[in-house]
Amino acid sequence: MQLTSTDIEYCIPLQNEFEISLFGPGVGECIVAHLGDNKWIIVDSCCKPKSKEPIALEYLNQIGVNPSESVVLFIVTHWHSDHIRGASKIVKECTSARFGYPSALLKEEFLKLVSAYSGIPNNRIIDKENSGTIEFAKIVNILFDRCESNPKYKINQLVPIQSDRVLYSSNVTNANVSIRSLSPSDKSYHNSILEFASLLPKQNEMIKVIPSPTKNNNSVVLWIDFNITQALLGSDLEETNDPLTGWTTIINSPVRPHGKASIFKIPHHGSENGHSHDVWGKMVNSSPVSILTSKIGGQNSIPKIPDIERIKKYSSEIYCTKVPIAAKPKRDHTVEKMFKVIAKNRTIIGDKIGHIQIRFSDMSNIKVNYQYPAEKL
Amino acid sequence: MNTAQNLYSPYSTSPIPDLYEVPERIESEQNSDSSTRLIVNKENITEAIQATTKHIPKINVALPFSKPLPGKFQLLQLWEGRITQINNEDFSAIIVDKTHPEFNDELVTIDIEEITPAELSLLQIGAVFYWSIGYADYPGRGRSRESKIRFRRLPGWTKKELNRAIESGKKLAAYFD
Repeated sequence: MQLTSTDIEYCIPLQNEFEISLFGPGVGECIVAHLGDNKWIIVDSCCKPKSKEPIALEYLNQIGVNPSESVVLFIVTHWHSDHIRGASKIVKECTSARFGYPSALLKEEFLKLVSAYSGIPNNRIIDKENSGTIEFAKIVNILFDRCESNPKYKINQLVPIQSDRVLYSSNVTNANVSIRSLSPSDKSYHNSILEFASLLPKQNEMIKVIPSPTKNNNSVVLWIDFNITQALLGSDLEETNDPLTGWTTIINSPVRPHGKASIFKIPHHGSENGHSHDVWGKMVNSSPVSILTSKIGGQNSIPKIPDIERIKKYSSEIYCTKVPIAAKPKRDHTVEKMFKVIAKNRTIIGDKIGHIQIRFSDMSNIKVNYQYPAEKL
Repeated sequence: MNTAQNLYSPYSTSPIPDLYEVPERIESEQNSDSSTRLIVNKENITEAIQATTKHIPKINVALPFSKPLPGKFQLLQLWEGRITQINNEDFSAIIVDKTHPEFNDELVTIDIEEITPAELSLLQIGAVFYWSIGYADYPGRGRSRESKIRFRRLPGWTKKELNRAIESGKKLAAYFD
């Protein structure tokens, strides 16, 4: 039985009650999940627009969970700025948590890129607020300090991720939970290394904001078994024409989980290039609860209406942290008049964070709560 | 002592200064194919070259203004933007409000015509610009609203910076390996 409500439950779930909360401010994404027994996982990070604090920490504190004790794993699925904003604060605060990352991110090619764009001695860097490399540089500094003070930290707490790895497993009363990574594949790893090397600036090249990567095939896709209920968290993984990368390689993997997920976090904001018919047919059950975040970007905003129509064919229940047209800021009248003359189109990015909260103890009893601007599509 | 040349001011009563000497007219003759050519005495080509080069205009470098234009610009609003997409006629950018940091970022589309031609070469994805809106008050012209977009110009990446980044990346990778 499935219940739907527009009231988020601001209390700690029961010991054997699971939760997946998805947050999205329009540009950004964060998942907070309860694994039972007051153990939590955070996947990616975004910040509250006004406080600039990571929404994951704010939510956990709000419901009475101490992040430094209860978060057991924090995963950055990829380094793009919309998935990593505020992540260094989570690493800093969640002192007990292991830190998971696509293994390419602590390799030489990416660290050179991070050092070039965000190294501490390099103060010429621009776009401080929005760069994924700045955030990752902060994380590297924290990890470095922790490794220096505790030589076992690197082995015990750092979790480089590639496909088909068990990242977490617990077996306590009424809560058998395991988390597996389904990506990135070996080839995606190598493609990422090549991409990072190509992004390193060249001598005399004009200094610009670090170019946004166009591919998302290094993203970490997660499979979570909550007793007999499964969830597939698609991150931003896209489908490619290459059988060794993207969703195809997951589908074709002989060691992928063979259950069918009841909860599906749709990949890459529902875009067409994140869609795989085989995923819906082979990895997701026939009536899943599908959740997704939107990405506001003018004409490039996703999901587009055809995307929503397509998803509806596969899933009867879709919830989106959709950000409607945000309130325009109140500026000087002259400025607004001039703004309208110069700017042909205008979209406010981020305003309020949509929150979808799914709580369940088994798949027959799934409660979906959501809060504006999140909505059921 | 400031030796910079005073540039022309539309409000100045002094005559317009020449930036270079106006060359004397070089004689030419009409060819049968209706093209023109310089008359050069082939037997004394050195003289011809000297005579020709004598008329090459002396170009005075226009140094920066010693004084700004009279008048003032009252800044009302400043954004920092970064280019995310470039189309044939316009470009998209995410702008961050520097006047009201509490306001959200905005994605805007602006005509390329708004950029001064001298800065068109800087229009690249990832480039950073400043967009200001304000009142311009110049004597004799009254008050007008002005919108200015200017790109941030930073020196290019230096070899030293890149080597430092490469070394730092290598060391960190070896540390975490």
